[in-house]
Amino acid sequence: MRTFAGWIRSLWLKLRSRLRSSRVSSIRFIITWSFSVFIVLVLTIMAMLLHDKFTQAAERSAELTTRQIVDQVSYNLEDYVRSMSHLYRAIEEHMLRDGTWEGDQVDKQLDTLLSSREDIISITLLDSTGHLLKNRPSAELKPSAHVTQQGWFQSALRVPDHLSFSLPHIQNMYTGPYKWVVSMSKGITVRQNGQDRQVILLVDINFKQMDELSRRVSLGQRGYVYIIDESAGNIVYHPQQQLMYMGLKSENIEQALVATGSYEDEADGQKRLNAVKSVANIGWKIVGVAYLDEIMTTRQEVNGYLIRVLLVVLVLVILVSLLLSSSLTRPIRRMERKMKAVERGDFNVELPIEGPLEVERLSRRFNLMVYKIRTLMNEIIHEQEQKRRLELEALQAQINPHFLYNTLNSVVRMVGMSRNEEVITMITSLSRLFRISLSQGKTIITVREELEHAHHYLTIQQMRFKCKFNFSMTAHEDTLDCLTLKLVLQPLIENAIVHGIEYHMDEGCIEIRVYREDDKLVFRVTDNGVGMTEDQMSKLLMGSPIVKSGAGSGVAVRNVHDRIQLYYGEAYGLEFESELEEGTTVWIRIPIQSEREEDDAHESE
Amino acid sequence: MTVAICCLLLCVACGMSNADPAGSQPRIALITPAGTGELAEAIRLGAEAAAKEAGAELITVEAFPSEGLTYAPSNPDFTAGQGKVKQEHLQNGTYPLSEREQAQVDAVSLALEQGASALLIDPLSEKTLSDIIQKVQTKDDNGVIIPVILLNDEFPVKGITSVISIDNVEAGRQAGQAMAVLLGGRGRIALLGPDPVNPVLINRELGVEESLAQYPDIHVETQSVCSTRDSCWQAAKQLLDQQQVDGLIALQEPASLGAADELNRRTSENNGNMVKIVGFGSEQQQLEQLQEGRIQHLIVQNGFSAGYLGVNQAVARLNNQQVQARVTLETKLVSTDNMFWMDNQKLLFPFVQ
Repeated sequence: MRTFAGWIRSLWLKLRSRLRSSRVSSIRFIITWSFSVFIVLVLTIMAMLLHDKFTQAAERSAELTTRQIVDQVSYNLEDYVRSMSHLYRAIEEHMLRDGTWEGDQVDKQLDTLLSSREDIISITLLDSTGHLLKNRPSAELKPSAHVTQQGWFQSALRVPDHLSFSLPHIQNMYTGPYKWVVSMSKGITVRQNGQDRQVILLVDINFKQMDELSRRVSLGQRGYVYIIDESAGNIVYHPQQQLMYMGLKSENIEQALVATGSYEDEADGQKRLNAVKSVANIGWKIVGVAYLDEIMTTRQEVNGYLIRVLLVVLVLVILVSLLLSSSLTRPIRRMERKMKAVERGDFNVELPIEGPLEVERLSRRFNLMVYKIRTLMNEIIHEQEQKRRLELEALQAQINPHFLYNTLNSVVRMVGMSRNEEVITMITSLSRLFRISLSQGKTIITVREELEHAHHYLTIQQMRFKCKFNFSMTAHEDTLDCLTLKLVLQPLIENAIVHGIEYHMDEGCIEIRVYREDDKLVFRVTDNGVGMTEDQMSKLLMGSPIVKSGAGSGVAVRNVHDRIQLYYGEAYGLEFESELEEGTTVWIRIPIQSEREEDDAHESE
Repeated sequence: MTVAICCLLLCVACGMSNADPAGSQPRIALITPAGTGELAEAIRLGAEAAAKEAGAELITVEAFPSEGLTYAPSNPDFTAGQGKVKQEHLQNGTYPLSEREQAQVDAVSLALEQGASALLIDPLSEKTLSDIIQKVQTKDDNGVIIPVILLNDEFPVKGITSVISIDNVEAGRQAGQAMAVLLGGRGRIALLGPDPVNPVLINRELGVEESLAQYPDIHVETQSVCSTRDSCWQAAKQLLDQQQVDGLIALQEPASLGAADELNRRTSENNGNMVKIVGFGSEQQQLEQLQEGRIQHLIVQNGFSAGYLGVNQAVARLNNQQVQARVTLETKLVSTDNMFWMDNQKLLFPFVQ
């Protein structure tokens, strides 16, 4: 139980996480589903509106059709009844003219009439006691017919001079097949032999005509028409009157009697539309019955059709929006892949400039960015390489074999001259010099150490050049603990000695000062040597750092400048001021950095 | 690819919208019964009415032309599927039983060939019915059993879906009762036209005897087996000539007609001797005899209802709805006096001619 719950839970969590991750929030998903939902929503609303409209129209037209059919049937029946009344009048005139119904002339006329109208079954003339006076076709009256008890006879007697139509009934007066007839009867007073005489003229018309008029009506598959007698509510005609008689079916005659126009009712659990119309002259009422579910098939058809259309559209919309979203997101996904490549460190990627405008722009920017990163990376690599090279160069410059050779040569000479004191000083200075030069491979050292290095160098050179110059070093106390790039002073001092003082007649003087200037640390090296021309000065810093000149000294100065600028930026570096025969002053400007800051910087590296 | 899918979908949609569910109308075959013209016609009309109401198609297959009058179909729409089998015997009008049985089986074959999904039949004999059931059961190739609805008969054969019939014992009782009333509870009567092998007639006879058992003063004198109008007339003549009977109960249509013929003859010859006749059926000529008072009572069954209910049961079975194994129809006693009452007119004269 527990494991099952756990399984369900884990399943749910998995599902949820999957839903939350990529899929649900992806542009593709959003576009697909929002498109689909929107279009289907719109279509559904449209379909509902249309459906309502369609079905209403269909129902209205069905009702109208039903009414029209009933009207038509009623009109036909009326027409038929009217024509029968005319016929009756014609028969009456032929038969009873002058009060003489005997004679061949009358027979002939009646026979002609009968033969022309096959729906007239018989013409019978009776007296008021039911005694047969004349009939066409002539036949014997059945004694079992009980003429005087028949409805048409009684109504003719009751309302004389008024043509009455009976309900359909079986004609049983003559031998032969029993036929359903409608009897037209009228009590007529004729003058015969100067005396008034009451006779009854009966014309039986075949009900077949009316039956067919009603039976042939089609109101849908199952709809039908029935006729009721307006006065008593008897059913005159019903296509299923057998069923009604057997109690298998019933009609709501009360409602049909009072209704005008149309009404709805229910029979056997099925709703039906009834249209009612009275037939003039005969006192009948026609009721057309149409089953609503047949009319409603339109509704079902429309429903089914709309649902199918909706389904197809849904599938189409999903397909189209899937295609659309995938084509929209394809460049984005491609971009993602490229970015991942960049993430891995491959900067040599390039997005094709294509796709939608936004994507195109984005690709352009991306390419630009990658290009910049690439350039910067290259620069950095280049700078780093340069730094290493320059440092190596600087180091190599320190371990200049000439310098070493000269120095050692001087030492040997001094030993020869037994100037032991000086030898000791020189060797000591040399060793200190190299120790600081190496200084455990560090690039940055304190100003103090740098000055000490310069001091040792100057000391050695002073001894080599036999006190051809003297020097002074002054530094503010607060600058001594500042940090500086290693070996920046020595090349300048060397420069001052080799180019400024060596060929100078007078005693040279080198002054080194370290001080602060705003937020910069300044080393100033001043000599009173031969000086330089503007041209020389500008060449000093312009010369290619890579090309090595024979003397190598010029490159060393340049190297210092480049190293400073590499380390501290373009704002720092060397500055020269020189005047021929007056001397040269060099300023080294670097930012003020304390030892602690430098440590931090190292750590952060 | 996508375009292809879209096309496919559209095609499917179109195909779906074309598929009309109303297209499959069940086709129900009515094998028209033998001999009983008016009843057969009433059954057909009832079946037509039910078929129209249920939205089914009715085809009528005539096993052989009915005797007596033939009627024009009242609704031409429903005669399209009419078929006929064996018409060469039309002229003499009488057939041996075996031939009639075979004709009915052939009619069933014809109906099945025409694609009938249900059968309505009034079989001639138990053998015929067995043959028909067998034919129907071998026919159902799709595993769908074609319902067979029996009209107006009761044979102990398995495989019948439903029987629509009158209660013949009850009808016999009605006849016996009516005769007893006619005779005032006293007299001698004879049964005309019983058949020891026809279950319908056996049941009617049973009913008559059952009801007459209550009247000790009524004696059932003789039973005359006859099956045609002519032979029954002979039988009636013999009965009236030889014995003194007060009433005749004619158990089938030809018997009542034959009895009435004899009565007619005697009346025209002024032989007096008025016997009462109670018959079964509502044939035109029987009705004429009834109007003339030759026959006093007729036990009438409603063929229209039989056809109507038969089709209803068939449709219900085809729609997998509840089917009644037996539907009993009421019978009605009609006399000379009440035959032209409006309700009885509708029962006795169902067709507009």
